Amino acid sequence: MTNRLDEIRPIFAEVLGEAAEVITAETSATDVEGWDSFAHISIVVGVEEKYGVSFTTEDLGKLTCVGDFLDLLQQKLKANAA
Amino acid sequence: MATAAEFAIGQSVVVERHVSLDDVDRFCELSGDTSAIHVDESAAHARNLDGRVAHGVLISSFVSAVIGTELPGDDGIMQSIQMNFRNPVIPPETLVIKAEIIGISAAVGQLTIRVEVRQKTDGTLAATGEVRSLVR
Repeated sequence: MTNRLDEIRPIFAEVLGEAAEVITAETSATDVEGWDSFAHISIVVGVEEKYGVSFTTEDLGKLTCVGDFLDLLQQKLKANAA
Repeated sequence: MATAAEFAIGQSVVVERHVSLDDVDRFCELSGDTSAIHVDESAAHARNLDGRVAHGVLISSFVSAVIGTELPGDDGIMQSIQMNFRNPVIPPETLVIKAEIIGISAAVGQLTIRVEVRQKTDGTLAATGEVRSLVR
């Protein structure tokens, strides 16, 4: 999980204009001023493109913090590998 | 209202757009960018250019027109545009603008569109770019 967090931190950092070090699994839209709806779209697409996964509209409701992205990404990667 | 699911990877359009020195003059007036290479023929020659150069952002505005009217057209909202200007465009010239969908995120309804702009005269690559457009 920690390695995966390190991998996706740069996506959040670039989109949100924050230093990668301040991005934790608990970081959410309520913690970061720049995490608005457009930034959220860029983060979703950034994760999709980096890992070759596709989220669904239903998935979006589950993605409220960085840890949510990590959890769902793990599920997607496991499903793709099966 | 179209959704992302109605578009396909590889879907593309090609549009020709003529750019004239009058367009450059009007864009100088509109934008306020009156840099010497856009308004002064001799200044352009002094920079080893064959004539007054069309603004890169003017070329980008033609790309905007393709995105806004052709692909995805009325259903899109441009989220970002990144352009790299590869060779100067010296009007009068006709530009051939190709836009191709290279990515679709169904979850957020975003299309990633690769753009290539070539001069019709000799095929010289004028600009490349990438546009992200929301269609949901």
